[in-house]
Amino acid sequence: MGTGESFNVAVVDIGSNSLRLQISEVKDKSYKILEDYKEMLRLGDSIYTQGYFTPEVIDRIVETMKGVKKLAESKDCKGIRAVATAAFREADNLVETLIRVEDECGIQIEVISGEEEARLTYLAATANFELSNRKAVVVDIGGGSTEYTIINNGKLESSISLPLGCNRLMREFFETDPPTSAMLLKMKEHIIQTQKEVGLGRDIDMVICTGGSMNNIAVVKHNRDKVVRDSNVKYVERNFLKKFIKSLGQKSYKERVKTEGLEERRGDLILPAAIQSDLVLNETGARGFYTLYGGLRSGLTIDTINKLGIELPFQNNTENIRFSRLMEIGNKFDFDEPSAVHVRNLAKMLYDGLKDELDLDGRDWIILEAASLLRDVGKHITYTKHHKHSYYLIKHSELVGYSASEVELISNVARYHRKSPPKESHADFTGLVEEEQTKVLKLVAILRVAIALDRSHKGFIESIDVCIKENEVVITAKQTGDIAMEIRDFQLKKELLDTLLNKSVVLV
Amino acid sequence: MKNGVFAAINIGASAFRMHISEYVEGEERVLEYLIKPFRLGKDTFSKGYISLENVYLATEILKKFKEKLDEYNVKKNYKAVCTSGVREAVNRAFFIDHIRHETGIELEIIEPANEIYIKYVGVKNDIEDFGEYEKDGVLIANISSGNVALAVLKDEQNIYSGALPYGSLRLRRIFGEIPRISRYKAYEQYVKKMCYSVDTSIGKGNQLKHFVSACSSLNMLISILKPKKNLFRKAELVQLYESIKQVPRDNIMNSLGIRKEEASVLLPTLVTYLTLMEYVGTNTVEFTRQSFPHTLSLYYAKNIRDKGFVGRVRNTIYGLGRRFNMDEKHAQTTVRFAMQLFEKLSPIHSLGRREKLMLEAASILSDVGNYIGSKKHNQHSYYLIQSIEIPGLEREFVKIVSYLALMHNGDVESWFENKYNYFPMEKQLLIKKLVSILRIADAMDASHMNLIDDFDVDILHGKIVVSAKCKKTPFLEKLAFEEKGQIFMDTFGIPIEMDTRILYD
Repeated sequence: MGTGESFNVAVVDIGSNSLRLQISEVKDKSYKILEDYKEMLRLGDSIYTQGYFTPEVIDRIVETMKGVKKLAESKDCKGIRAVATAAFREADNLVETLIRVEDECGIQIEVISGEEEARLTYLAATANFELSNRKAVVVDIGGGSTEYTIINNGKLESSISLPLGCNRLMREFFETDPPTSAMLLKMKEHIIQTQKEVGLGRDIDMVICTGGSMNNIAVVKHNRDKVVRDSNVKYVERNFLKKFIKSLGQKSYKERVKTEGLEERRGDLILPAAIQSDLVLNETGARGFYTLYGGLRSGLTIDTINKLGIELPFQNNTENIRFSRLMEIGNKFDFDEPSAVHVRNLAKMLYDGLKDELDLDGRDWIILEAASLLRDVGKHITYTKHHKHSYYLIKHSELVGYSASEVELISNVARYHRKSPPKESHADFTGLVEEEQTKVLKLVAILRVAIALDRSHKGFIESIDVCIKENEVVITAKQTGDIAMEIRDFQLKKELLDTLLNKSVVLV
Repeated sequence: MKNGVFAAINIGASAFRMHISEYVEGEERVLEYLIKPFRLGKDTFSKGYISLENVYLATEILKKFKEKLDEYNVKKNYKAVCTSGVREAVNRAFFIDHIRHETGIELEIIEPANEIYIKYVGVKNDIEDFGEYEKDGVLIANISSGNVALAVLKDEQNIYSGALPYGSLRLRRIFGEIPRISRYKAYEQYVKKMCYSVDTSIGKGNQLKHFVSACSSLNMLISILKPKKNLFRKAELVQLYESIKQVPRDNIMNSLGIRKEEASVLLPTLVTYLTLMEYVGTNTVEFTRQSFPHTLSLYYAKNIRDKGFVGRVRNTIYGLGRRFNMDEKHAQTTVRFAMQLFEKLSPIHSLGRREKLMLEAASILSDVGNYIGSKKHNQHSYYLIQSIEIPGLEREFVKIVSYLALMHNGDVESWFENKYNYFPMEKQLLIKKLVSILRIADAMDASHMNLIDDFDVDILHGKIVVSAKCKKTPFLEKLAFEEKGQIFMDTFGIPIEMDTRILYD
């Protein structure tokens, strides 16, 4: 596909609880979601009680698919790919339902296996998390089944589909509202026994839970914390989860749905989902789990794009999905890629030479790396105040492999990459805790010097050596052209670094 | 057009200028033109503030200007504007207050976007065939001591407007310490960086054809090159540049017969001209001999005007929408519906042409936030629209458009209750009236499929009925109309309903 060409794809994920439509625009080997539409069909209600779709339910499916088709057509999509999972798999009148949908809507629904569900969720996870050098489990809790996928060092190791969907569990074990302690215990025991097939162990260092109910738990948690972050990825600590289960376990459906952020139609399903995820945390020893919004359907979108012969950047670079996503975002906002990468390389050399002096370590480099690559994306809005626009765009872009607080740090480092210092009136900076403010300033100090060392955007300074002396820090530049401008800009931009190091920084 | 005597004062970074003209029935008679070289920007660009000593010196100059105003009995018919030399000084408020107190002259700071806009209007009225230039692609530059303000127009759109910190005096200050022999190289590199900034802002593939200068620095070049027509050729600028690029200031001053202040900024000025010519890909730069205070005087006395302003704003807004990947078909449909509703509902909203343009702009741009993310896209649209700078378009206009985009979906009342309750009632009402219409127009193409072909509006007793003629049953449109129409009732106190009829049924 040539530069600038784009087209839209539509995928539909028909689960036991909801039907979700996702329309995405594919452009230059990247995609962005244009539309995310949800209809709570709760197909599991009839499947897990009667075993088949009643005529009313089939009518509802057909009507919804008609609406979906209309929406997809309105966005000029290249056809619709619809997949159905557990509820369809188990419906006695599956064939009759599929024929009706095809006849009336012209859409062929693929009924996929639990393993295929797991593979699609794996695709979504690799697009949203950096999974190299990690062992992760992705738990996709649906209405009928739960897919457990083990990812080792970015590769799919194993997957299994278990009949532990929250709608199924709720119907099998909860005979009263609220459920009694005995019912809860019985359900827990059932989950533990069934889960054994997965082989969860302490070597797993990351738990990712997907599915509508799990996302809803994250929303409740974030509402409670007053953290407004419109992100695909959220983190839920086990401490919260335990309190949540305890509180919900004692409440009836009517009382539960009063919880801020809790979706009314999940009021009965959320408890089994929460308990199952807690048992995963218990087995793995993890202190919390990540949620991934749109897990299966994101994977479905990626798979559909792959089927059209397009491989997305992160898929051929599983070693560094985080970096690929940064480049993808940069390209979306038309950044100057060679210059951004060169400044990133200079920043890395400076960082390596100065990290001990500045007491930086751990994930500080990847924060600086993101800021050095994306600092100028705001120019896509306007050149004037572009540092402020960069802050906004970075904050609202889906960075992968960073926590919410790290995204905030990256946005702040980009915000101050020019000459203006943070002020009391800058709420986005003063909102950071003191330790984070200091970290931002240290990273800003390095970034400003790195930018100065490529002021002409010509890459004349190929590499640098940093030598720490008693009273000064000497940066030796290996140059390939006239660096008069770089020298001049270095003098103007080194002040913050001088101050933080309490030494004079010189360029030779 | 006004009759009478009108004065304009420009407090620049390297000179103070005053122009006084008398206008009688469109005819202008220039009464006075004063220039007092004074490098007020020298302090600002090196220290960040205007020293007290220079505040006093500036006061003395302006006292003399005031005497001239009194001589021509100019009481209120004047405009005194400050550019970057004052605008960027941290003690600008003190400077302005001191001048007011000591001379009675009310100074205003002119924002870069307005400065280049007024120059653009001046150029447009002064250069014949400028309308063609706007179609072909033209760069207008105001190369001053502090900033280089640029406006780029193409296909009758304003595709770029901004002031960049590359003014000649500023460059002189930045590279003052670099040895004279190689200083020109630093200027060249630095100014190329400016073109790079413009390029990243306007996007690829925007070829330009013309370069027009509207700078105070022109007088210096005119006095050296003495052109017969209002243009400089690249060859003569290159020749001048080569002859002075390594020469000491005093030698330049003596050999060219220019002032010391001029000699010290000649080199960076020439570098800027040549770099911009190379950027545009032209061998000539045209100019207007009209001074900035003269243009100011003509503009504020309303003796020149910006023909085609509305059309250009409209084109520029569409251009912005395309930059953020809008669904153009839907935008056009929403505009058509919104404009039709605005006209038909005029008996109840009593709004005018300016408000209609606001509604049109919001109809085009309300979905641009999707480019950042589809979740909360209205908030992203609000952010993107707030950052728009269209020369000549007031800030308040842009703000209202951004509020309309913010409220084009979601709960309008809660925005006012929780965030904008401090807005005066008139402003709240204006936004509610326009957003009520916008939401209806947007709902009528909710599926983005252009299902509604045309419609009539009947204002009846107790309700308004929109009778829509459709190609197919507009299910989504009906739903959205109902949902989004609630605010209409809350604003105007009358419900609005939609009847649909399938065409050819």
